[in-house]
Amino acid sequence: MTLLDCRGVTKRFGGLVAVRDVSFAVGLGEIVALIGPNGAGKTTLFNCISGVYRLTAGTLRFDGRDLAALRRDRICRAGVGRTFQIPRPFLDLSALENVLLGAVFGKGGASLPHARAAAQEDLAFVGLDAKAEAPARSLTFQERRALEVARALATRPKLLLLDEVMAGLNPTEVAGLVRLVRRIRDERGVTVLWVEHVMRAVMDLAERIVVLHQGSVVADGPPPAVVRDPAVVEAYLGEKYVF
Amino acid sequence: MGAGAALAALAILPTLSSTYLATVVYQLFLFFIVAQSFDLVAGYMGYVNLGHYVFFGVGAYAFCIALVGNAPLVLAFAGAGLAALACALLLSYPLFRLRGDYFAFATLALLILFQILATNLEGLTGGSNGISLPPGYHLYAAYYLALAVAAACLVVVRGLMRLRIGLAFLGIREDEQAAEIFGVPLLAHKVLGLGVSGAFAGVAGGIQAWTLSYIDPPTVFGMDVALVPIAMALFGGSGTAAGPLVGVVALGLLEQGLWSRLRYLHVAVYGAILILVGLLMPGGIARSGPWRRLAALRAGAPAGSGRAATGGGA
Repeated sequence: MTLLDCRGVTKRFGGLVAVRDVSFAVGLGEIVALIGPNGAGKTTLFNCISGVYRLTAGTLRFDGRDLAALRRDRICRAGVGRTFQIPRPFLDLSALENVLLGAVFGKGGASLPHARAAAQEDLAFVGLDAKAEAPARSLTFQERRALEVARALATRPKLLLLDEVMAGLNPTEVAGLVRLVRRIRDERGVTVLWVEHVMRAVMDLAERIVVLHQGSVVADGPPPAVVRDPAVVEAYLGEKYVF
Repeated sequence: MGAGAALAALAILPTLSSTYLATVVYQLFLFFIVAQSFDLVAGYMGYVNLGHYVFFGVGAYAFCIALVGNAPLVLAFAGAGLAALACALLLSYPLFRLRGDYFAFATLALLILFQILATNLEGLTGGSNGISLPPGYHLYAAYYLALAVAAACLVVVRGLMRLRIGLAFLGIREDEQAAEIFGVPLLAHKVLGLGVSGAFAGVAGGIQAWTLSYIDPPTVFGMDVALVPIAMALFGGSGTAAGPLVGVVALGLLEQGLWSRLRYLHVAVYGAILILVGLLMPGGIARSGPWRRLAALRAGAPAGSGRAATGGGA
């Protein structure tokens, strides 16, 4: 069953076409990686799906609804959660309050007392339970990233958009996050669409890879086939990349 | 416990003290209502509404127009709040298209706009002649009314901040776009915040008009009066629970004390103290080191002196 269906999605900034006629679908329960060189349009596509940008052309159907017609907060309540590439926590609020906001206003729509327990649970899920009362400002960069994930999970999304959550991590940390993303799908039943440059993690985790290059889809398929696709090697991975 | 005792003390104050003291405290109540309602939007929601006083002025005019039109007193006060509320709702649409400094400056311009409107709409407002009320207010009645509204304002603001609405306000202050992406309907919350804030300021304006018996455009829309409660909120610590209260008491009493003791220098000394506190305590009194140590001391008092010693050593 298709959860997200992008058809001919195009986003133009003046003369620059950042996303050009992109069509692909994400099935319910899938973990799909979105890869491509810098400037390929990955984050722009995320911004289109979460309503930060309005589409220039094309349609975005999610769970039977037209996302392009919805306001950002309604897109969230329809079941789309996201993280930001550069974490954007509410710096003067505690980690718990950050997550609480998602729990209260997201698709879960819990009342405050219920949300508090759920938010604690989500913090524990990403391993931040010890930092619940700490102001987000005091968290390290990695902790802020985990907080982004917890805050997005707290909205109880059907589809989670993860934007480069593994960039700059060491191999142990990458392995930890790979396990976390898998648990998000397996334990929470959340479908994951995930922008990533860390190919090791992509190969470990993704069930399907969509490759963007200069705003267009150049490949879409199972990881082993995609990484051997000449167009992908040419555009992104380079000749030397061998598995 | 502390709040109850303070309320009781304020309630019996007029029976024990001079009229002068009761008048001073009464004026502080009005300052507090305006400062605290300003800070709901500025301190918690992050929208610095420098023109907050227009709600006060609209309330004052609505009250006077109603009373001159022979409306019962209760209805006139309700009208003051409702007129300011309606004004806040109408202004929401253009104002909340702006953010940050642009919002602040647009709201500052409202003061000038409303003063011009009040001067030119002669049929409604009496123009620059203002409106006179038949004498008939009672200081104690005004005192208790202002006390009740001030207490209600404090309770409502603290109450809202304990609800999900309060969480939305904080999210809007911190990062509006992120808040929206995490599900907060922005406009509804902003309109609600400005509406509540405006209604309280409007009622305060009505009470003030009642005791002045006469208003004209500069008394209720003038820049000199309009920015005082805002200065108080910022001075005390905008966005903190105690800030507006502390600022109103500190600046209000300072102003009175200087005025009665230093007849000719009081404005200069007042200004100098404002600048010094601004330099030494950016973020307001309630965010300063001494105030926090005091608060920690109070909170930790039953447990012993350990925290106090740590605080003093830091």
